[in-house]
Amino acid sequence: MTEEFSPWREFLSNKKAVAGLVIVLFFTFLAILAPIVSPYNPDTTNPSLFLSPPSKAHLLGTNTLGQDLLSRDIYGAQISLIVGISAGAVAVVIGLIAGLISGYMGGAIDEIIMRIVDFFLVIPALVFMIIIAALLGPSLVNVIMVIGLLSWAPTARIIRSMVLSLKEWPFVESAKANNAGKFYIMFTHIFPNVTSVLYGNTMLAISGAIFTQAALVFLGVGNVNSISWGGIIREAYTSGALTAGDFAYVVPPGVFIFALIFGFIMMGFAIEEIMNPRLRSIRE
Amino acid sequence: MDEAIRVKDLRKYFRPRGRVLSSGTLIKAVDGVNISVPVAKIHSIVGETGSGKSTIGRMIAGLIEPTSGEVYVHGIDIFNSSKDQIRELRKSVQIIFQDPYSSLNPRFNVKKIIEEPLKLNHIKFSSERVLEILRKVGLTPPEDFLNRYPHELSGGQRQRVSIARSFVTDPTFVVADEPVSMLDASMRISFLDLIAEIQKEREISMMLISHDISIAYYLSSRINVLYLGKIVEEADGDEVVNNPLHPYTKALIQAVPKLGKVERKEVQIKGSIMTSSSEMVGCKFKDRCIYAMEKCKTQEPELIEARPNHFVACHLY
Amino acid sequence: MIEIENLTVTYKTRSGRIRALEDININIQNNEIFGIVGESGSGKTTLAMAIMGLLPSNGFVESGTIKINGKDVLKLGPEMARRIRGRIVSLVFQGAMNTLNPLMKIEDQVAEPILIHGTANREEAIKKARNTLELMGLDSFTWKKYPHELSGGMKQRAVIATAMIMDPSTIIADEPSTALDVITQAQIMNILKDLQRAAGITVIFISHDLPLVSEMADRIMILYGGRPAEIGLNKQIMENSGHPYAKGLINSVPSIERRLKPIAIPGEPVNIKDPPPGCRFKPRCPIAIESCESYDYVPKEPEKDHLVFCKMYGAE
Repeated sequence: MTEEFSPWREFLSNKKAVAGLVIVLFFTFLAILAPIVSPYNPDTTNPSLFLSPPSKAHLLGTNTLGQDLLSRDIYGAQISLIVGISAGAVAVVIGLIAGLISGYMGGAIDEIIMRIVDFFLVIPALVFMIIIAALLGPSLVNVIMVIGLLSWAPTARIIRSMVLSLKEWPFVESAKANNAGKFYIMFTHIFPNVTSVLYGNTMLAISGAIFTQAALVFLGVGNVNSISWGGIIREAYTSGALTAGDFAYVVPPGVFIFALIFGFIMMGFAIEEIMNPRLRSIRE
Repeated sequence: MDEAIRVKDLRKYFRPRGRVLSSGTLIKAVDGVNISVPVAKIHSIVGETGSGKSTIGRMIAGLIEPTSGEVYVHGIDIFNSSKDQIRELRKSVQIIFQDPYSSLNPRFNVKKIIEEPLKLNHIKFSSERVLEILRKVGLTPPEDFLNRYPHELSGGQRQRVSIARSFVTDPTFVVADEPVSMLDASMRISFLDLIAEIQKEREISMMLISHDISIAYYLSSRINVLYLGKIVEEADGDEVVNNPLHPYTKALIQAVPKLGKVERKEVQIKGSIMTSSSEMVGCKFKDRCIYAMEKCKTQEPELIEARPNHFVACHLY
Repeated sequence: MIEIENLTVTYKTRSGRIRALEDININIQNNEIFGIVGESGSGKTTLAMAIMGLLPSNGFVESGTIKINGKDVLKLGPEMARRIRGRIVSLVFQGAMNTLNPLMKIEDQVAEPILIHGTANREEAIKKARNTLELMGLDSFTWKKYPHELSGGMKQRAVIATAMIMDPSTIIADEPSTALDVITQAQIMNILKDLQRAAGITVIFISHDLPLVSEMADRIMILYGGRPAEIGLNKQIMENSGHPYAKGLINSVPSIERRLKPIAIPGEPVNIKDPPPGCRFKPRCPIAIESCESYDYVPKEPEKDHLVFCKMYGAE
């Protein structure tokens, strides 16, 4: 009994998916339209407005340099999305390749890659990233690479386990019986059949990257020079506003971080839900 | 060359996983098998799960390496030849798989599935070749099927695609591994007829692997009965079915369901199937055999010609 | 005694409603072995599930009644249904041997239904489990083993023991031996026959394998596309079948003893998502005529207890 399966239709009729999508789209528009939507230029300083509380002119108040917090919060969406998506993509691509090769080749290569994966799963990744980011210096590209290169382990594991089962399927044997080489099989036969797992995993990787970037900047490493939510919270802390209980400073960027992460996670869960029964329906 | 396939003393031993057997013992999945299939004939191997039949099939097709022994396809030793020779041979040796669901890549459409063996073997082809083979297996009009994906096809249609893929490179030897056991009973004969038709037309040699002796009897001319990695009986279909010699073969034939009510079926065999390990001595069937004698405990019987062109490995003969 | 009247079972799917069974009428007598033969799309498993009240969440009984010993089980509340399930009618479903709990010893699993239904204490339950296992030919060597330590045939016997432990009056066996080799299959069939005779239970035996069913059953129903094709005594169907599908099935068995060459049934089993109008077998039928498309499934009765659901039957 085969059903008509349209992933888009499934996605759009899933509540989690739509909720997540709406959130992510909201922040995306915020990021793209930031110059139009934000009330002020986020970099314009105004020393006379040192740490002013929320007012009609500045709805969330200002920071130590008199910059409008609301504008900075809006612009912060850009970094979170850019880093989140790029670093997430890097992590997934590396994880995909590692998982494919490890799972299909087996033997010594598999052992080596899996031990590396174990290493990355066990170490406190954040600590590692702090050290490397501090060494490399603050820059957008550095942050993306650091996060991406250190978050690929979970993806690799998931992909590898799918590959292990896929490579036993007769359609792979059939290709081998026809002289197919290892790389041909990996990329033509196995890869297309792991994409179902990949989409959900990507969403989760992105949400992880968003959080990690915010955490890194809060701790003082990474791209501290750009406007990001993590940076704003850090400012709040270093300027004493946090301890003084200035909610308008701290709460919005925090809420934004979690909302955006939530959006991606919701989509990720929804995708896994949709894709998973389909994995079983290969046998249907 | 009269012989399409010659299998010589083929063996495949595995190291067991898990704690059931102590380390050092081997699982003897295939334990010294000799088969010869003449050109344009269908021979079969009949055995149950655990008999080693699928392993033999895959070795003959060159997918698994034997522990020892040789497989000659058209006179060429497929495990001891140059890479180029093996590559050439691959287009002449094909497999028909059992499961219509897992033998097709769900991401490939029918066109891609059929074209793949041609492309991988660097065979130049026209689109007509693909259409022709689809027509041959009963998927008409073929143009309608080219862009469909496996999940859009029924089980029977998928198996037809699978068969089409196996025959599109014009093989001279095909291993059919339980080609109809996952199909509904009402379709089996038509599939077997289809395979037989293509086989006859193109003079293909075939090795049919089946757990069902009635299917082997229908399709093949000669039957090899396999038990725990060894051939225990080998003869023409009629001979095996009408004059079974080995106690296992007799039990198999007694056990096959026949039309009509029986009060209680007598199957002359003890116990249940086991694994063949290197710890086994003597005849592998002795623990289940109702005729077991002293000799059977220590000496493994050899295949002898008990009747004209009818071979059996049993101390009763 | 199980009386099924006008039973229609439907599934709700994304592509619409699918009628897996339509208008089924059968009476299964006490103490008989009733065989149901059908291929994919025939609805045979749906029938077993409907009797047991185990239809999946998207399946429901659209109409009809299922009476077990006079009580319509479809009208019972969940508590009564639970009592029936396992105690009066039990099910050995397809592939059951693969669903044995890998972490439980065999005797514990067989004893479990007693403990769930609360009809005895643990000591008595284990004792009964061991007795039942012995009846199945599984001796004390196997009682404390785990499923992975047993062969397929032994596992299936354990499953049957689990189904028998509550002393049901009816056991439904859905493809109980499909995954087993032919010798083990014969042994399991013998066990079921012995059980049936000794305990006087009713057995509903469901399979796609007509010869297998014919060796077991007193009466046989052949299902096609969710509707009946033929119902009759074993002998009637084997020697005097009327429906072209039944005849086709019998003729297409590649038997090792029949002298005649098997004849194939053309085409493929019906797609029940989109069934043909009227007689579901018409597209594959060698004697069908156009008006078979308006067949209303009123059967002909060539002899007592023998129903043929074919418009063209006897029309010469």
